[in-house]
Amino acid sequence: MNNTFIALLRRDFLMVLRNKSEWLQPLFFLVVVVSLFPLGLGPGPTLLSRIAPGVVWIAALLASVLSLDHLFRSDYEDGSLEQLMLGNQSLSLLVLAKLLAHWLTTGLPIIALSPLLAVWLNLPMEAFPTLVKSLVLGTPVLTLVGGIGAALTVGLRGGGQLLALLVFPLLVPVLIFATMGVSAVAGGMEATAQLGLMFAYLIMALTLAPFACAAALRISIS
Amino acid sequence: MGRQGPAKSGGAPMNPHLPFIIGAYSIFVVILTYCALVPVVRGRKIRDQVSRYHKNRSQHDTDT
Amino acid sequence: MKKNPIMLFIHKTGSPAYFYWLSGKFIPWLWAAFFVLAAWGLYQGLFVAPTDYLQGESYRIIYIHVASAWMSMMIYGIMAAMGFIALVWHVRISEILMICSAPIGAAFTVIALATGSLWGKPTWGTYWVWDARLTSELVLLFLYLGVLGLHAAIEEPRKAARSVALLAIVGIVNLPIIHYSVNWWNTLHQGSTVNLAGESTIDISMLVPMLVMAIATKFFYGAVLLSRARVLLLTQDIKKQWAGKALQNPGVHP
Repeated sequence: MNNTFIALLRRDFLMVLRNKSEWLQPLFFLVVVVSLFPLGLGPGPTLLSRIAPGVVWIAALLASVLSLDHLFRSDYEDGSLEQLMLGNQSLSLLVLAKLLAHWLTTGLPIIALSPLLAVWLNLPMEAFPTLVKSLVLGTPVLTLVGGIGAALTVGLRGGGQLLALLVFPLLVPVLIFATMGVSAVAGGMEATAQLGLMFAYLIMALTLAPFACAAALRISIS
Repeated sequence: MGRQGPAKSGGAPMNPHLPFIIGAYSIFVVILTYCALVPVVRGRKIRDQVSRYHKNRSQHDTDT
Repeated sequence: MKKNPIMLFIHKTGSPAYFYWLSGKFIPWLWAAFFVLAAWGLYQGLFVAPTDYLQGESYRIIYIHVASAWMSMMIYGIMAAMGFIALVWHVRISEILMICSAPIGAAFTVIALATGSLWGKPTWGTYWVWDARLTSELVLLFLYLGVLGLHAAIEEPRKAARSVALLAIVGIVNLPIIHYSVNWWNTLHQGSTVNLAGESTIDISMLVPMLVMAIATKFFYGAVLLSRARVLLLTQDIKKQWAGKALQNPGVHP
């Protein structure tokens, strides 16, 4: 069972790597969206530093959700998803492999890019580590919860937009805790409570989401 | 007590909050009425359909 | 095997014909209860209860705002519970009750938001205030829209119901966390205004009509839910025998 997990993880990871646009496009999107804010709101440094946590996180949310649509879609279209479901491996574990591959190719790059975005938005330096920590704790949740939405909408015409509609309300807590934590540190306070809550939420998502995702796949592809 | 007389166009002073109260209660009534009427309208159509289908069937049964 | 009357009842309501007949019997009583309670509650609330010292007349909106907000949350919970029963035990009636609850719940959410907004304007000066309750209601509306959207996007009705059931369950698990996070967000970002509901303890003459309206709206929900469920059942079962029989002999125990 372990072998299938690793094999699936490798396959998905390499597939995304080879298709450069699949992991570069969300990053370009992230960068462009973030730069729209100073363009739209004016370059005043105080305003930017106040909205920096929110802007980075909203952009990360959008970029992540956009890339979720093809989490299951290409496998669904060429039939390999059904193959996976028919096998005797635990579907939840296989789903976890795909979700992990997605995070490695979407969440990690976002985390890597975040210092640049923080500099652009004039976020105080003391808050940089907290921003990164919040993204480390939060981007997996974006993938996990988003995966449930992707599984529910795989094969549907409305596709990406419906997925976003389903998933955004569920991710409100992540957005709130993350941005409040980063703002707190930027304002000279601590963010242990916010990060702690994010960690708890991550654990909950990690244990429940793969099952929900697998159940959703079984419903969608029946 | 705070009770106001009926609103007159140019006469007695109207409570400035009245439009908001009327607006809120109207929204309440309109939305809930719509919500309650939908099954009535749909119900008539469907019941017609069902009756027609089953009448046709019983005719066919007696014909054959 | 012991035949528990409750289990027997639950088993019987699984049959479409029985459910159709039984709900038909209930509906008039539910409407009667709603109109009686709503009439009394609104009369008390609008004409008998005194003017609020701080807010003047506009506070009277709470009689429909609070009831609608409570209903919007209760219906989502019922929807999720019905979804759970449908997924785990494959009970078709549960699927139907869940699907029919969604638009009613969304309607109450919209009413809560609109009345909240209209209450906010005379009280706090703006049509919208990002306070904890209104913001939570808005997120709840998005959850309802997701349920309605997902159901509309799937063609096969039973698959649509099962997908929606899963979504509703995921939503209800998240809902307390969303409430908590929005509450925290609101208290920390304390802007110019805070809670629309007000901190002062509510006078009993205002509390009673509010509770009566809350109960009245439950009867409304019951009546409309059963009406919609019967129609949906017929729509899905046009060609079935029980449907023809039920319409030919209305009111007859199947």
